[in-house]
Amino acid sequence: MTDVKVEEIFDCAFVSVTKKIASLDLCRKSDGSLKIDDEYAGSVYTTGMFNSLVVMEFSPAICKHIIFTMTNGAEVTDEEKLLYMKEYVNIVCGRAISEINDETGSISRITIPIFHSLEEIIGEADKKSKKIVLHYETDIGIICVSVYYNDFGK
Amino acid sequence: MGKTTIMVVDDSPFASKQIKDIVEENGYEVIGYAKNGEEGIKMYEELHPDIVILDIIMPGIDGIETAQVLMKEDPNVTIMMLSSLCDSGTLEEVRSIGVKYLIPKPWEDDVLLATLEMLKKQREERLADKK
Repeated sequence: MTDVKVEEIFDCAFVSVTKKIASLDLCRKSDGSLKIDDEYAGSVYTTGMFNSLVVMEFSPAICKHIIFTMTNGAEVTDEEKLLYMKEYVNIVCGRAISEINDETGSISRITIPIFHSLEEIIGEADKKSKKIVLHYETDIGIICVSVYYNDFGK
Repeated sequence: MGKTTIMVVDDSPFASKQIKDIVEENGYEVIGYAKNGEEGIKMYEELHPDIVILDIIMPGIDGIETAQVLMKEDPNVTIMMLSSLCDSGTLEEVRSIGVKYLIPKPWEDDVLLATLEMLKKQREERLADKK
C-alpha cells in the first residue's frame, strides 16, 4: 500500500466519521504552520501488519463541540467527557484501520485510545520511519492528525 | 409476552446511551450496562438478558473473549457485536467463535434495529423448538 493511499484512508475516515457523529465539516488545509495551543492530545496505537501511532491534537472548542453533539447537550462530568473523546478517536481510527485491513488483506488492531501530554509520546513517534500529517480547519477550531508508521510488516 | 431484554457491554457511555435511546423507543428494555468484559460476565449471570450487545475493543478482556466466556457458560446466549473495526478479517473472527452479527460503529439505527429483530426472532424460534 502506498503512502498516498494511507493518507487518503485516514483523511476519508476523519472527514466522514466527524460529519456523522459530530455534525462537523472538516476542511483539509495543506498549511503545516497551523498551531494549536493545547497541551493535551489523543493517541492510539495500531498493532499488526500496520504498525503505527496516531496522534490527534484538538482545539479546545472542537473537543467541546464533539462532546456536546455526542451527548445531545446533556451535562457530563470531566471524566465522562474524556470517555466521549476516546470513543470519537476509537471510531475514526477503527474505521481507518478496517479500511487498511480490507485493502491489504491483513490484520491490524487498535489499542484503547488515551489522552495525555504531547511530550509523553514524542519518543514513541520517533521510533516510526514514516509520517503523514493532516490539518483540518473548521469554523470553530482546528484538528491536527499525525500518523507515524512503519512499512507494512515491520 | 414481556419486552425483549438487552444488556449492553461497552466502555463508551456514548454507545450505551445511543443504544438505550433507540432500542427503548422500539419496544426493547435495556436492563443492564457493563463497562467492560469482566463486569459484563458477572452481570449476565445475575440478569440473564435475552440479548447481549457487546463491544469488541474494551479495557481488560475484549469483546471476543467475553463472548467466548458467555457462550461457554450459557450455550443459549444471544449476542450481537459492535465495533469500530468492521473489516472482513474481524467479521471472520467474530463468526469463527459463533457470533453471527457484527455492526460497525458508528451504526445506522435501522441496521441496529433490523439486526435485533432478527436475533429476537431466531431466539424465539429456538425457544419454541425446545418446548
